[in-house]
Amino acid sequence: MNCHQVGLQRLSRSMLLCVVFGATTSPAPGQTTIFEKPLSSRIANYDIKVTLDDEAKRIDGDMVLTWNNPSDNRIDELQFHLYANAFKNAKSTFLREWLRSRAASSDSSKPGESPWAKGDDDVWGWIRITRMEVDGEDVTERIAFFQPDDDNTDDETVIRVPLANPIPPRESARIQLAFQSRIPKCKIRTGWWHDDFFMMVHWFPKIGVYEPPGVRFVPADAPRGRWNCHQFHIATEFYADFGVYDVEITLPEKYVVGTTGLILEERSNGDGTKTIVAHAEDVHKFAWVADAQFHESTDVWRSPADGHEVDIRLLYQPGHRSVVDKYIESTKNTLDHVDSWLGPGAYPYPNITVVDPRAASGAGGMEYPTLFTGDAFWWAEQLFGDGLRIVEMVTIHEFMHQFWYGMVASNEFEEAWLDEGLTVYSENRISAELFGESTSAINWWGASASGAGLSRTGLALSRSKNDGSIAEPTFAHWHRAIGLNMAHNKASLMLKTLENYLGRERFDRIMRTYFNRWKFRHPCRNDFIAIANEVAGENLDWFFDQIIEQPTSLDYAVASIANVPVDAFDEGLSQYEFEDPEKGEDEEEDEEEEQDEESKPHQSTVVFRRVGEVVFPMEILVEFSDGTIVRETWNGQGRVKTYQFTRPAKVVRAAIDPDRKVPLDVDLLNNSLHIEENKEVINKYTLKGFFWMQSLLQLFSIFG
Amino acid sequence: MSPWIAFKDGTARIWFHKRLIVWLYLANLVFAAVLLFPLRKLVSEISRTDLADEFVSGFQIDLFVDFWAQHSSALKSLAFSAVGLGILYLIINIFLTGGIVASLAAERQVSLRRFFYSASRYFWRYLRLFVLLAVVVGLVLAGYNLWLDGLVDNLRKDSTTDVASFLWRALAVTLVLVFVSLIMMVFDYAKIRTVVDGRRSVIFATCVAFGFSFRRFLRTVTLFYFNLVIVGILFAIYLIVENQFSNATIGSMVSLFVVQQIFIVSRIWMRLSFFATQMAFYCAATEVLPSPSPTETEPVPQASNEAGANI
Repeated sequence: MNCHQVGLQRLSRSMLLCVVFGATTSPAPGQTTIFEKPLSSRIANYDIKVTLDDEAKRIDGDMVLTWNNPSDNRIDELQFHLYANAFKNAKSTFLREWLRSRAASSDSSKPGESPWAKGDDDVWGWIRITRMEVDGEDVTERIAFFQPDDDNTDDETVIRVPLANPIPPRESARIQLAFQSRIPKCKIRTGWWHDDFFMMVHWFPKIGVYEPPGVRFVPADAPRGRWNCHQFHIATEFYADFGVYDVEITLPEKYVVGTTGLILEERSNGDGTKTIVAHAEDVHKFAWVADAQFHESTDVWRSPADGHEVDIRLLYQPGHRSVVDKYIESTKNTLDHVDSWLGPGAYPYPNITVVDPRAASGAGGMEYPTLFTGDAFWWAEQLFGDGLRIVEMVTIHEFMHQFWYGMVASNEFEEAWLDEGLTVYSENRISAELFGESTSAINWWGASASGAGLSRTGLALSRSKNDGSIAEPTFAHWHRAIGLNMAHNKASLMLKTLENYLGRERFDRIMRTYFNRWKFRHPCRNDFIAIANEVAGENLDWFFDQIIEQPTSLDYAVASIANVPVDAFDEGLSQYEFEDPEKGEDEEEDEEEEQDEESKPHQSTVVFRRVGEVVFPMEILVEFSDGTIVRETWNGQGRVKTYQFTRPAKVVRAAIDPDRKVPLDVDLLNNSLHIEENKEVINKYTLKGFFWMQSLLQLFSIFG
Repeated sequence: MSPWIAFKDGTARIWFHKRLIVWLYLANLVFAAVLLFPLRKLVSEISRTDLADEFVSGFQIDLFVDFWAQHSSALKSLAFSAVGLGILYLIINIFLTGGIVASLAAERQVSLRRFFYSASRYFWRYLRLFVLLAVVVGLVLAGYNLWLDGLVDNLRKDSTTDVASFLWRALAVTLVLVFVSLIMMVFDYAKIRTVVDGRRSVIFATCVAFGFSFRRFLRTVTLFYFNLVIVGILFAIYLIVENQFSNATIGSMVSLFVVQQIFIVSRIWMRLSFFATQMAFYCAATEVLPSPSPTETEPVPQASNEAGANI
């Protein structure tokens, strides 16, 4: 069944649609309704007709944008993103950031060296508006590039258009424009690959977001709202208003096409081309992909809670038949989980398109409304099979973006963590449920890793983990890796830590409330924190202030264990040998004597230390030689906390956060201390190491 | 002589000189033991933490990364030491190979003293052979980097699926590995010829070995790859068996150690097998007696009981 059939079947089956077309006629754009009642405020509504010239890698388009002024202000200027210009040359802010980050990572990179610059002129892409009218007034000559984020005047990814006739409050404007675009070679996210694969992401002029007073960080009592229209940056690119998209794409007949929303019709033009008619509602972006070699697989997910259905359409590469089930099942599993977590019908759209893009095209692992790209590697499938969950984790991750980016439309430029952090948290949570807490990412040949563990490792390993905070815009960090680490790893670990602190039930109520209150709107971190405080029933500002706003790390440690026989204080210290857990056990005591010694009353002192800057209540555990376990909670204040015990047994083990409830802790090695060595681990890995050393020597010997 | 007969002859020859295996095994053991204590010291860093239990039950990659982050300099030092030790072991093996090949060529069992005598006799020739081998392999790798890699990159660029792309790369790597293994085979015959025919010129020995190998290409290659396949099978068996030892009890550890040492011994056997089987084939093909050239035999001390030995 092709996508067209699937889409139409869904239209009739859901009965949510009022498609006005007969058996032989096709619906015209604007005649289709997916949602009887709009889910969003539908501020930016696009009607686009575009033609792809695949040989010239060009598109020509005509667009009518109906923009509804969401404010009580008169709007005397419009702002648009022209993101394809990020790929125009190496001077764009995007390429500069890319080169800067790369040069900072490696000395081998020199200015001017980039994957784009290595090829010929074929790699570059651009977009230009050839004509623009606003309510019939030609404003083409007034179009001006500007740079709201930096002083790079070579960057042409944002334009402003002053209006002679401002748009009145709460009124609509009809913006007609014609545009041409040269499609860049796909290195990151958008472009062509191998001449017959087109990932069309940043392909049309897209209006910025006018934030009225009271929205996000615009004070409610401000006299005017403001445009939020950032340049194209290396790691962030999404922030837009919701709307309805009617898109007609004309392209050579050989292509299989996937789009945001539903494909309503695919008609042959009789000249070797065909036209795809697509429609999407309550989305804030429209992406499409065309590939001459796509294979297709479809399935249907049915909600166990309310029976509503979602059509799943997978477009995959030749040779990737073995990952079809992984893509489909991961998508269905995610829908299952979300349905019970965020509520039935949390995913309201009738369909989802999963794209398995060309390998090495750079188009993999990205999210767009009702369409996302996964990542699969043939060789990895052959080698690791189910031992490596790349396909599953990427699929779950990108699909979860439908919720934290697609519906809860935060500003990714300024607060990427509200999208990425929540998405990584969701990905780790779902994958742990599906594949095991400690084996959710890797479970191969005795080695394992969890998604959350890898997130923690990503943060812990970073030398620049204290170079920035979650609150800073991702593009403002000196290296893009810092922004990504903050938005992905630290934010997701913060959420997991909060979940463990509050308990899953309370935490889930926060997430559900946040999702339901802010879906199809533009929240900021203050909105998230306000809901967390409200639903948790306690003020969590102390937590968020430290983790989100400050460039700090959380690290607690067991500093020392000291066991002193009580009678030592009476008889003099010189008679006693003190055990230093940092030293080896050079002297073997007689077993009997040792037991006597252990059963003597001891005064034991255990010292815990706060190594990082973040203060967080930590559970501590102290275990005695007689098997007694003491658990207490340290409020985490102060640099050091000392516990003293006087018991007829020695302390043999101390641990802080013994149940790993604080994954934000960047060093797990210092979280526990035993007075005895674990011989098993020493024997096992010394033996393994010894054997591999023998093998290595034997390998060297073959050249002798 | 067929490759199979050569293999049987060679195997019998190794069995006859099985003490070589003991000597080589001990050398391996002693060298590996050098890093045993630094290794133990490093592992003991986690032995007093809660992570130890998790490492006993399995290998948690994310926890290991923590360990790596905290002890990266110690781990790097250990890795550098291992490679340094490996290079030293390689040089020692260049020395030992002379003794090995000469011993395998001998009709009688050889003493340690004679083994070392032969090793020192052929050391400089084998060292020159190693340098020649390094140059030739270096040229092959340079050719791969300068020509084949670019060619493959272009082919991969035009590959519209990652299957084709992977197969192009795999084909290129396989080609290089085959080429290098054929070079290794030629140099094996050069080493054998150096001992059996007693020639001093390693370049001449290599040229003759090259001619010998490629005149009987099918049989020499069959014999070489037969040995190589056995090595591969042994390695696969080891990996499967090792995976069964998941717990860290004393019994399990001792059993695993025994399995590991059996595997190391089998690898040493296979190293000898390359020489012994190829020597059997070479001697049969050239109708040379499998013993060192009389002109190359050591001046036998009059008082020695082994005066009649061919070493």
